[in-house]
Amino acid sequence: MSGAGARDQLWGLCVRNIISQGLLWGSVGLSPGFGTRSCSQPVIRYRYPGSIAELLGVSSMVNAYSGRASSSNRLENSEHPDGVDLDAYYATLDDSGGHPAASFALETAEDFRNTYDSDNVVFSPQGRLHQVEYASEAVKQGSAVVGLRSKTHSILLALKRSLGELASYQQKMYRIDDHVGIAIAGLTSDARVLSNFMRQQAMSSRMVFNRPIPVNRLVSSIADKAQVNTQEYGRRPYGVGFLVIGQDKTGPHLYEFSPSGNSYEYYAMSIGARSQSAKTYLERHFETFVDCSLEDLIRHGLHALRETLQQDKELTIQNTSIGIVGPAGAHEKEVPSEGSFRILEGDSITVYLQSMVPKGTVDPDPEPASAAPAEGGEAPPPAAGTTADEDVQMADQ
Amino acid sequence: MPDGSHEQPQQRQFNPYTENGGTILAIAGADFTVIAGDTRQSEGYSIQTRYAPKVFRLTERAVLAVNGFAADGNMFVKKVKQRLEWYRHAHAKEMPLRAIARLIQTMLYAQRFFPYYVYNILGGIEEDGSGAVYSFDPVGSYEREACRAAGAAQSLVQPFLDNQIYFKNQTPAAGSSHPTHLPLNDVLSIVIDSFTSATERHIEVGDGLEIYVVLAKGRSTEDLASIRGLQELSAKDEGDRMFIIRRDLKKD
Repeated sequence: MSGAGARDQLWGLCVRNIISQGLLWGSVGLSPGFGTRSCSQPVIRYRYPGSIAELLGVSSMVNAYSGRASSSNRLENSEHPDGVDLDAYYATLDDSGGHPAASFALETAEDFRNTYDSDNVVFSPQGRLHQVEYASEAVKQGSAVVGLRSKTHSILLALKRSLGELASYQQKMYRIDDHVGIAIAGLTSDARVLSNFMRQQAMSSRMVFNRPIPVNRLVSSIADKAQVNTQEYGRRPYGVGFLVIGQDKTGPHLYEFSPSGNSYEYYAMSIGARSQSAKTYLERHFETFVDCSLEDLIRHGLHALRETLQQDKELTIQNTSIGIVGPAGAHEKEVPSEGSFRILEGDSITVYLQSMVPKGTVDPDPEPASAAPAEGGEAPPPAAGTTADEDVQMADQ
Repeated sequence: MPDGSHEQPQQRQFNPYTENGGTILAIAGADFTVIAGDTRQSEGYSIQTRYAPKVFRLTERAVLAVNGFAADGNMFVKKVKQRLEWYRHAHAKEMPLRAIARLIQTMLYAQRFFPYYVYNILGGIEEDGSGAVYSFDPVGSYEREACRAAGAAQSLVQPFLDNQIYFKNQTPAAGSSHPTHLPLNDVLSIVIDSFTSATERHIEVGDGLEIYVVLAKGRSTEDLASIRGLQELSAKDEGDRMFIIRRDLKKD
């Protein structure tokens, strides 16, 4: 058995790995088939992307051995010379699906997207990166955020979520610099890291070039940073999306940043849960935004944000925050002349909430309006109490 | 040497520091602080510029004056301002004065083995509303004081301050005692006289004078009403207020 020596060495490595990591793999059925293997091939086949170190890592090593042991009846499978169907074995391990392998090129149906979505670096046959798309799903889990701009101002409006009646509301907006602010949707921890990076970039620009960073350059810098995580093996994409507002020599701006590393400039945009409803409102009205006063712009933004609320919920001074960049509005005092980014929360937004038009009278749109109330009345009401309330969740937003 | 003897071995080395002259001064009152510095920057017997500010506003209530090696001074101020910006991001408020003082110590000591060649004087209003002056050495040793002068004319100005602010070597009139704090206009006069006198006798002092005045919240500004050329730096009427007064000094 010429291969026995190599196998023994690798087995020794495996044991060391297992012991050093303190794992017990008794449940995984080692050794029964091992000693009797007569195949002279080396134990591990390099059949999937990854380094040798990875191949010798515990789980893959042990899985290979146990796969081998439990699949000894697959000796006859001519596709897998050493008689082990590792991929099928992996598919049984957890719900993330099978391990992608080049040999699975045979499967082209969408049902098998599970096989292309474990690794960041694997395209699906449709040319999609599923991990990146899943990251965008994380953004859609966060509560809604709306951004819009006029000739003079850019504003952000965010719906804050709370973990429960006793908890405070999650902060959704961050100041990056005097002239830039962001609102987030998605994983808050990722948002902190990225907003820190943005702050560093903004400060560095002031130090090195003695001028505030242009907003598009700042957004490009995080887009480029996020793109790295979509192309490097072992790294996951950032699970947070931003709406970025800022002003520079060319006026006020609004940008969207997404985990894919794409960024676009918008007149108005919304991200997060049920943001499509807000986008519909914005699409209907965006042409009027250009010449709006700050108060009217905020009113439009609040209407758009209101569209994302679930039934029986409303915007309050606790769950809403407004970020503004641009000259001071009629209800604001003590804004610096440059119109620095500021966040309004609590009592200071009462006046804006009161300026909202009551729901239902905003857009008398014949077809959708008549259909919607009918559906709304017939749909079963949400379960009573807070347990079924989507906005009250333990998940990171 | 022509006579056959040999010179001592010589070594040349790049000197990373130079002295840029100038003088700074700060005096703390009961509810105000005055921080001043001349604007001349020199090197040896040459004047590099007649207007190079040495006194900088850090926050709404803190002012930092830097003197010694101008390149280190300017860079140090920028780095301090960056740290204050990080503090604002993290805490959504401005850094209190004594925290800034401690921060400056740690920043200076971090460069203990290649120091910032700067004598810093930090002045402003403390959290309790009192006027404060903190003075530093180049590696971070610091102390809160009522007044301090630093720079080229320190040896001319500090004794004057000891006499006029601390009333050293002065006996009060019978039946009274020296005031613990002086009124604002008296302090401003002392500052201006210090600089005009230093300009007379020290070549590195002159050209112009910038005086920053920081008033605690609620303190009236009528003392400053008669000052010519006063400029307000603070944005709001409520809260601590900051003004700057510019004067010329002799250019010779």
